[in-house]
Amino acid sequence: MVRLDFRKRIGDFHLDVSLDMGEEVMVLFGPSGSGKTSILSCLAGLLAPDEGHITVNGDVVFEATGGRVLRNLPPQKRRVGYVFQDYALFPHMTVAQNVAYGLRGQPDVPPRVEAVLKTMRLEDMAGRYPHQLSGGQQQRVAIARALVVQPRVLLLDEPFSALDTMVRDRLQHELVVLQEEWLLPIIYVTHSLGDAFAMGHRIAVVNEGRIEQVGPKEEILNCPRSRAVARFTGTRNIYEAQVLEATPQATTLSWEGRSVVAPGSTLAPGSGVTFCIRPEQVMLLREGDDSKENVFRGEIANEVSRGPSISLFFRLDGGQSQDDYDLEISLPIHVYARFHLDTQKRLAVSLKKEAIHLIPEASQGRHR
Amino acid sequence: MQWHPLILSLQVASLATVVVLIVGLGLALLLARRRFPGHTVVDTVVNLPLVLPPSVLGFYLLFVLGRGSPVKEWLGIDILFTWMAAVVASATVALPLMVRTSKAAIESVDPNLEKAARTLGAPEWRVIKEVTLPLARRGIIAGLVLAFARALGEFGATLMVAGNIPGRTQTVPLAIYDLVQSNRVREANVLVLLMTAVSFAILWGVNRWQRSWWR
Repeated sequence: MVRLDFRKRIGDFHLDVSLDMGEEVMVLFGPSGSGKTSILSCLAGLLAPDEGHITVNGDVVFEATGGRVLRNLPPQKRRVGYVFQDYALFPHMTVAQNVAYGLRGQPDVPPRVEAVLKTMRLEDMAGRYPHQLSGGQQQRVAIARALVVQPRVLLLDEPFSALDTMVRDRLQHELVVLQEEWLLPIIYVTHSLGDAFAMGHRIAVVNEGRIEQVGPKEEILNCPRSRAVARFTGTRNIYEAQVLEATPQATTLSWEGRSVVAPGSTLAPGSGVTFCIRPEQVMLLREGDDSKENVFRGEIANEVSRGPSISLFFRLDGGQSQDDYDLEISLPIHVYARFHLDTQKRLAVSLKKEAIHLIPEASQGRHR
Repeated sequence: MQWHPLILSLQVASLATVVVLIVGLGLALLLARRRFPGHTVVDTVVNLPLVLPPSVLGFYLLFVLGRGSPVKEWLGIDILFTWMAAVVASATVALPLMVRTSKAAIESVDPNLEKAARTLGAPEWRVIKEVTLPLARRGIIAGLVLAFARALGEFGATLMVAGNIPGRTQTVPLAIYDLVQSNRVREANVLVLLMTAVSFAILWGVNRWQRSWWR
């Protein structure tokens, strides 16, 4: 169990964090400079918050109220494992010496080092120096070094950002297995949505020093609570609209002169609302298919291939948008081929009612 | 041939280097890794001997070591005009060279390595001894060599606090000065060549040792 509830000023930057987690992988996801690493530093004892408290397994490691620090355990006493972004392996020590560093004065050092090296598939590397290892191996040494001291929580700061995709996928899988074996709370910092979804049980979206939203990954993906979260999680299509009518079954919106039917809500008619739809949720319609909700016609203004999928930038008929396009659509390649989109540029699309997510105006501001 | 000045010079420079190692490394660690009120003042004062004329420095040292100073009156240490005073003078002059080079080396050690050591439970002394200093060792050794060389050549401040007593406090630079003054150029030549050879040998040896040590 880890509980964070603290505030910290770093120059003009305000960190204001409140987060509870159990024996799970919690992903701190957010853009660079949003304060993710500072949150880890506060938990590890490398940075002292101004106010608040931090608890690890019921043990208060930091507490300050009214500007008075009541308790601030040094990093040495916190038993918080920290894997740095650049791994921070000691370059003048071998792999075995690196891993043994945190075990000084404890019994059974050689067998414990050997055991963890074996778990991390590093037994043949024991005598090598960090500069003789590949990036993935260095990463595994850093994790082994942090795990061997049996930390109460493991922090990983952008652990796979410098690795190629294949190595990353494998390490991510290993880490998930490891977490299930050791039942260790892991906090994983990343700015990559793919990493966040591959690793996390729950995701905390960090923006400008705050946790904007915490929840299971599906919830973060499909029900962002603010525009910022929607933007970070790849919900490309975010629009302002007015509520015309709201019932528990359906909410009717007015969007730039068009009428859009969204899921039911209790929004007041006339109030402003943000609605959004993920690009992969936009449905293409065959000619003459008018059985769907929210059907709009338009043309493809541009397209970008993204490997297994393709992004279409779609301009709606009668669109007033100053941008080049109104809607981004993401399609698997085979759908693209089936609709003959390489030749046919005019289309009808449907914004399925259930795929539309509403963000009320009230939750746009700063919330805690 | 008088061997005494050479032996005394090596003795004084070696001892001064030991003093500089202890005091200088402490100051370098403090200045590189801690922020405290008066940081800039300490940094400036430590570097002052680089720019002050040795005679001015010697003058200060006379006050510090001489009659009425706490060192003499309270601690009862009276080393003025002994070879120990030459050690103090050489160490003072050599200190900034050590502090500057080792401070730069310590600053270039990735702070994340020290943080990693701390999160692994290592107390501060282990972080310094096993992470910071080994990684900064090239700069530290370079600083020591510079300090030793500077101590070996020390003249002005030494003359003021240790005097120029043949057989007691006369180091090689002072002896050479005396010999030239009394027109004994042949003897001066020998000392000059000896000094050059010794300096060359030390620098050459350290350079070689350093190169083979790190990869």
